[in-house]
Amino acid sequence: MSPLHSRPASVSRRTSLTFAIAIVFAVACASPQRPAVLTQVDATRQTSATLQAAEFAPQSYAQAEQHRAAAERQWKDGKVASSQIAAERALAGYEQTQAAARIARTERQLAKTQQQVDESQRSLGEIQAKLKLVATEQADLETQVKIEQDAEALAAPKPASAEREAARRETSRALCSQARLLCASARLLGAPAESLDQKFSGLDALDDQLKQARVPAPIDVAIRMRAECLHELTLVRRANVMAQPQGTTGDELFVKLSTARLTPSRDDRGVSVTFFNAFAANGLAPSASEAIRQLGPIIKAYPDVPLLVAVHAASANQPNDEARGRAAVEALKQLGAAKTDVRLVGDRLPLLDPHKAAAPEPRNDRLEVVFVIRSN
Amino acid sequence: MALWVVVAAQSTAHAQPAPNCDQLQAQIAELVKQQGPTATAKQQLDAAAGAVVRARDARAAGDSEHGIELEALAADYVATARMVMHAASLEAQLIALQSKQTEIETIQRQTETLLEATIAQRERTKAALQQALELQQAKKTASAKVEPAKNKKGVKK
Repeated sequence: MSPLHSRPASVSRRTSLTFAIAIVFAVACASPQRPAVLTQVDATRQTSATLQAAEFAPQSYAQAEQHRAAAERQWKDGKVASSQIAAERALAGYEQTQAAARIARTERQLAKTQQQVDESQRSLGEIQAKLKLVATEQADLETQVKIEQDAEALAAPKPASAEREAARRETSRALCSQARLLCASARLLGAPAESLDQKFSGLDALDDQLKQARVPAPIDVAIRMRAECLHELTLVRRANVMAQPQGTTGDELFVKLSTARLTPSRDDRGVSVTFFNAFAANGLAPSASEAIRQLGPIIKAYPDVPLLVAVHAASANQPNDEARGRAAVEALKQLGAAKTDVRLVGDRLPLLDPHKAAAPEPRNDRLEVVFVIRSN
Repeated sequence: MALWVVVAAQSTAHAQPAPNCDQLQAQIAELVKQQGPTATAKQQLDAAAGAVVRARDARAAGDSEHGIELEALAADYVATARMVMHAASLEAQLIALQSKQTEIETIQRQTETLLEATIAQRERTKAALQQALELQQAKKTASAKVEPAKNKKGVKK
């Protein structure tokens, strides 16, 4: 063995001890391992989601960045636990930034969508108004076509069998009454008095002809008279419809009367309600008075809607029809009706065939209250 | 060892209750209730609850410095949970509004179609009215021509 290789045992022990001490010092003085959460913070702040969110919520992002900086500082200062907590707060901060960005983005979209909804609703309203106007014009034109067709001079009827003549007379009487009710409705809506007076005079003349039982029955004249009265009503309504194409008074009244279980119906005049067993002697039957009282709130809700009262009788020449009509109008006025007119129809517009039974049919004895709509 | 366990137990028993922790706990419970079955902020609320537990432990161990820091962390997560829930609620509103917008657009398209159809119908009716008026005029003219002819015949007689 060479002298180089033959070291004394004491030297070898000293070397080992020195090496061990160096290792212990190296381990003791080495900086602690960087917490994993700090690495996670570094990764999170670089994600596109966080960077995009920072643009929407810069304050939240700045706060998170402060926590991150504090975490780095504390780790360098050797405060490992505090550094870890600060890093976690930074992570929470980045999440908060993303949530704030979500809120900001959604609020912007909400505002934009709300604007679109408002715009669409406005546009829809305009289209609906236009549709209503065009539909009204269309209905008006259809009525005009109908009127022109009805008013077209019919070939004068030729005398027919006695039975057929009686049927023509009855139909003519019914048409004459319908014409009167239509003209009365037009008057309630403010149609020119002059024109209406002419129509009523014509109807009086027609009634005289019908009383005389002339052959052939003037059914052509009756049809024309009815068409003319409907024309008057259409004319007076047209201005109202054009001024307020979205008017829904008729529909509202129909719904309210239906809700009150008054079984309304609609026709050219407006919305009508019929009361059966309405009369007792010269006035209204108590049950009818009670039923009519239900109209009170509806009449008050539509003060500008005039009321046409039609008194129908089961048989001709009932002497107390006029008193009955007056009583009905009085009751309606007490309920708040501002504008009314009463017409005595007699037995001209029966619901049930009066000839089928020996005695007058009681259901033909009735009171009709018509809400004359301005824009039917 | 037994002595250490006893001391530790006594230290925990005498540790000051953490008011912040209690408040945070109540806030977390309230938010859990608010979010309902959708659990939109479950992750944040779990993190907040975890931080509260750690804060309690730190305080119980007498480490109030870290206890305070952990309570702040829990408060951060509670705030984040609130914002997440708010964001989810706004997003739900947005979806509802978008659906309403789609509905309005559908109605609008239907109404436009109906309008076009009604305009076409109106034009047809206008034409029919014009035709009826022309026919009536033609009849009037024809009858006016016939009348003088009849009168002439009468004169001859």
